[in-house]
Amino acid sequence: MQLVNKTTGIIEFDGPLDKFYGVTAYQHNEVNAEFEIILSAQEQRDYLRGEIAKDAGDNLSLLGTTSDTVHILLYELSRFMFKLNTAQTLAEMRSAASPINTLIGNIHKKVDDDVIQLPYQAKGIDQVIFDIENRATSVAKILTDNN
Amino acid sequence: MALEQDIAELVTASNNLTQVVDNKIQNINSEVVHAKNKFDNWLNTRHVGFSLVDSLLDHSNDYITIPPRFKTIEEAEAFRFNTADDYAPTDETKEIKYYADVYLKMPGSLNWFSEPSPTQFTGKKSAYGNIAIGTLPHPNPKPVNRMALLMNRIGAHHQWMTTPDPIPNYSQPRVLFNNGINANREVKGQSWGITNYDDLMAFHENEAAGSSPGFSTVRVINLGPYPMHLKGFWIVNHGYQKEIN
Repeated sequence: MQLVNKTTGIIEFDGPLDKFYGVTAYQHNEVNAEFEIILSAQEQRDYLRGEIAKDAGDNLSLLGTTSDTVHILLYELSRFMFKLNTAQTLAEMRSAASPINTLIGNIHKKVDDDVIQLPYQAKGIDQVIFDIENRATSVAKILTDNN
Repeated sequence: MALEQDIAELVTASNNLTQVVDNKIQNINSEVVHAKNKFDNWLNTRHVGFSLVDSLLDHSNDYITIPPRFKTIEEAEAFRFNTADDYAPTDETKEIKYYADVYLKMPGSLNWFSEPSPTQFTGKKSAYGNIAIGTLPHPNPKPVNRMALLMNRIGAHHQWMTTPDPIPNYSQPRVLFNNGINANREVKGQSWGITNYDDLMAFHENEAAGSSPGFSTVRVINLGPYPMHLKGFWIVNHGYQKEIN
């Protein structure tokens, strides 16, 4: 990150965040300078990841929650598909959908009502889809090229 | 009569002996003073009882490549600090930086405010750099490059300038250890694969080194004309062991 002294034009600090002492350390009461902090794209990402770790949980906690989500979906969807596949009537289809509906059927409403916020919506769906496609292709290409 | 003569001779002999002893003692005192002065001079020059070394950068970090600000040695040699941009020079896009900052891990001042204060430091410091210059392994003649070394001072009116006033004077850089040569100094070196060969450049050796408790960063500016690769930077705080009570 950079700390630019807009009063003198001097770049007071240019380095990693952990070496930065905070703006007040670079202020002198007789100079009363105006400062601007400039973060690189990577530093902004690092900053956001730090805030996420502080408030939402560290990487392993986030991985645990992601794992729980996938396992719930896997199990419930498996059970639903199995029952759906053997259903003969509309009543049996409804019965098949009942467990998964009880478990997660109200989540979309909470999202629509802003009770729950999803990170992909905050990031922007276009960027998220681009990342999914791009990263999937990149990883697949590396695996294919090295087989 | 003979007894009086004998006594007089004895007194004379005694006085002579006293004079001889006095002279000898004076000679001894003179030798002691000479030896003490020699010892003090030795302490102040070559003797180092111990050192605390601050590694601002070493092989536990990646090296930092600093491209040259100027393309010719003439331009680099003519450089003088004059504008705000001189203190953190970049190309027009601001993407390429001609400087790099490295950070102290030890205090900028060893003996300032805290008590009990240390008594074993001489106040003299050394500064060494492991820096590859150019692009060739064994250049002959050696590439001549110019660089500037600044130190900061948090708490001053301007941490990178010495101007003691709210209005900065851009021609007053805070050069490393207040040594004027560090505003634009000549260095020579080699660069075999950047990291294959290592040695040291000496910027300061057991010399008085004014620095403040607000000294936390060294800024290395490559004036050019060759690329520099900063691989290491050390500040050595010299001291001698205090006498045992």
